Amino acid sequence: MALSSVLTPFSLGTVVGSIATGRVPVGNAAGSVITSWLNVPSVLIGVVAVAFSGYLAAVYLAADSVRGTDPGLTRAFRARALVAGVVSGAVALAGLLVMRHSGLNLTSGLALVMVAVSAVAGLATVALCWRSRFQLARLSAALAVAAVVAGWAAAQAPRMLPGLTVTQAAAGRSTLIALVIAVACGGVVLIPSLALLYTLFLRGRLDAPESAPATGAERVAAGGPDPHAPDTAPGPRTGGTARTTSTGGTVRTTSTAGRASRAWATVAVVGLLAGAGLLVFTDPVWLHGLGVAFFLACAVSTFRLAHDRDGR
Amino acid sequence: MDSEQHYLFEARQIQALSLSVHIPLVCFGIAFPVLVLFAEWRYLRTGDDLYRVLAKRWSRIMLALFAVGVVTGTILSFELGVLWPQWIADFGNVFGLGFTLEGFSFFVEAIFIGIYAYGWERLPPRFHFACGIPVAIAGVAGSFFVISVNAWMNHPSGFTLRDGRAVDVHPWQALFANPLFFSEYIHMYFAAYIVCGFLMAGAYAWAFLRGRRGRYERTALSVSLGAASVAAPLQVVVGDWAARDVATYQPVKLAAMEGLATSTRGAAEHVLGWYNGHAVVWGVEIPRLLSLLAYHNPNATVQGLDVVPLGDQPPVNVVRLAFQTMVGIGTLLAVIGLVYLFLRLRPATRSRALPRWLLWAVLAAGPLSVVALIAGWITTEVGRQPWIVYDVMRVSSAVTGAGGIPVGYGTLSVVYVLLAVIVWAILRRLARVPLPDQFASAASGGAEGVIADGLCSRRVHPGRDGGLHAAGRGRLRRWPVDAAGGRPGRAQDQGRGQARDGTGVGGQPRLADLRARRVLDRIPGGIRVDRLDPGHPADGRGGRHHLPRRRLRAARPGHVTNR
Repeated sequence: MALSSVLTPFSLGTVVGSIATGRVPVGNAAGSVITSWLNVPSVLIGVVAVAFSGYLAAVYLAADSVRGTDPGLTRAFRARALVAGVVSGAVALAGLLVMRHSGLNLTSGLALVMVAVSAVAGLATVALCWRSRFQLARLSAALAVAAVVAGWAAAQAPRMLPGLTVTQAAAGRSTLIALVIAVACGGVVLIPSLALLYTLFLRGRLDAPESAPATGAERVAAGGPDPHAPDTAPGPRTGGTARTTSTGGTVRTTSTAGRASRAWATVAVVGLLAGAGLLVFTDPVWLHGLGVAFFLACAVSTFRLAHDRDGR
Repeated sequence: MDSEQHYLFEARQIQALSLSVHIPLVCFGIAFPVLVLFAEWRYLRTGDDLYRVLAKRWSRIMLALFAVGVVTGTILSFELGVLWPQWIADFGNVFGLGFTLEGFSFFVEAIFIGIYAYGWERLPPRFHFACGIPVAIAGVAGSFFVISVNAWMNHPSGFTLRDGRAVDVHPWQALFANPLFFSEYIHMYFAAYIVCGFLMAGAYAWAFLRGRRGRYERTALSVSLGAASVAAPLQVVVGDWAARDVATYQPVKLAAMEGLATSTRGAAEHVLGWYNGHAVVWGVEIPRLLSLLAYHNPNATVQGLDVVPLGDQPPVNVVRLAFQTMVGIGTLLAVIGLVYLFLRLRPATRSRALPRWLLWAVLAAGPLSVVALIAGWITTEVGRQPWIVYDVMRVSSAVTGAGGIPVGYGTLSVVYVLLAVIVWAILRRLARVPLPDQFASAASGGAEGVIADGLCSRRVHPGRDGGLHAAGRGRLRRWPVDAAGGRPGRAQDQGRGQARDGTGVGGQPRLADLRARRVLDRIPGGIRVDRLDPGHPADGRGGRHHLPRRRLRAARPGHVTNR
């Protein structure tokens, strides 16, 4: 576990280093498979990536550990965040100097601004961790790392690979528009989902002990059914008239249930015949779509009829 | 244009291996959330705790398989770029949209599967159920987007070719206005229910055969086998639709599937046999059936392999064998499904136990359905050869020029073997989590009820060091009971010597004997054994030499049942 957690950012960093220092030529496997990423600057960037990961993890875990009950944990993560912050800053500084001699100048123009932002944010993070202000430290730590990545992009622009600019490498306009639409739609779905996840997680909704489930009152309040007490005999409730009930191994079906079953059976047969007819004997795509819908109706109703609800 | 790659065949094998490992997991991604949600929905409707237990246990399996699918899917997505860089370079602008959208559905699936799996009893029930719905939708959507790319590779459109590259691209049209796409996707969608359903059902059929026929096992079998059984017969019709689309859009693939050397009017169908380069030999010939199936006309002309030069033809026997395997197994699965539905829907047999031969058939159907799934994908992927983008780009033009493919192949094979071992271990572990007591099944008759003192007869051996051991499959799990004191010398001897079960269960001390010799008195009151032994020799079937291991664990104070 620990090994892969180190290897992943290290490998990513070496690849970034090899691209940033222009060691990946254009073409199908035109560069060296080994030496393009296994060299001093690339390995150094790999180390930077590992240091950054450790640093972010320490700061974030320190912030998380505050929710826990163990102050020792917070102290431990605070110490690690401070050490990792100092180490990351030092390694990043070394990386800056080495990269300057390897073809990527981060000390001029927009890149320099980004490096300065990163330096300030990094120092601020150390200061905030020192004063145990972890929530703010999270933001400044993330900013420090993001600024370095932005600085890399600024220093390398407009080159993507040697002899290939970003504009040349980009797909055509229609593809890019499609991707922007896709990302926008994806974001509309993803961002609320992430917000929900973090809300549940950060409010500790997902780390309540499982042995203390929602009480019956809470379940009822939430609209859920009252669970069986553990000592009552297992078996489904026989509330509605449309439910099949079992008595001593024999099945008694109320007339409502019988009528419901007949309705489901009708749906199943109609779905099967109509679906098969549409899929086999027609050609237009939309009729095939209708056929699939009939098949799904048939599948659902057959499944419902066949499912043994009392678990006999 | 062809790069110097001596290991093209190995590169293809790597890709095939990775796809074969990943695709069964995709089936669980599509179908399993729906089955889990069905179980939870039944719980919400009826308040029957059994369904909650079922959904909860299945959601653990769902999460484990999702995690494995993340690993294999990540390997796969890297392979597309690493093994076929020229394909991505020249056509990524056409199909990249599909993978972008798939990425989003993957994220949504990951977020909600986490909430769902960890939210049991921590979230309000209905809210928890609602969190499962995006998992089911994302499973369907993810496979939808990926298969849209595969369908595009089989029937490329939506771009203009200039100097071997795609320009003037219409990505939406290319992916989603592709007539071949829908049959391919629906075919895979039904296959997902067949594979997931039969594999799950196989596990419970095995439990049935070993005598565990409790309400939990019966319900689990009913849900999983029911889903597979309704999907399998319908798949026959969907498959027919897919084959007709192949006949229309990829006639050479169809010719390879059927071993049709030359274009023929009123072509015959051959079952089994071998393609010798000119015709199918040793097969059973059914006149005009191929024309009838492909074009609904017994006199229709079916294009043969000769419409393209030999260099553009796929390897016929591989494709044909894979296709026949898929059709053969698919037919068998449809029959199994129909038999099950017949027994379930007919009032006379509805409440009767399923016959043993059907349980054996269901047990076999699980692995067979995976074979059929892989065979189907071999049919469509090898049937497209030598093209990676049908009629546009050859696989040999797309492959990487880098060396080291055999090394990657070997490494990846080891990784997959390790992964398989891990999956097996996880699933066994999940299966062994004891059921809540009220659902724990006894042996077939259910006669061996809960033993009053809450102890089970599961291989409780008097141990050497004043402790008791619960052992399974040769391994001993030591359980010190120092509090009880004293060396159980006498009980030890008797336990090993005389107090053995008569039938089936080798070397196990009989619970009654242990109790008679007061061995069990040494067990402190706070410790109990979860679940009753379902394999009591009174089972009568006598086939159980190995019993699943159960944990000995301390009961929480005040709790008699342990969920």
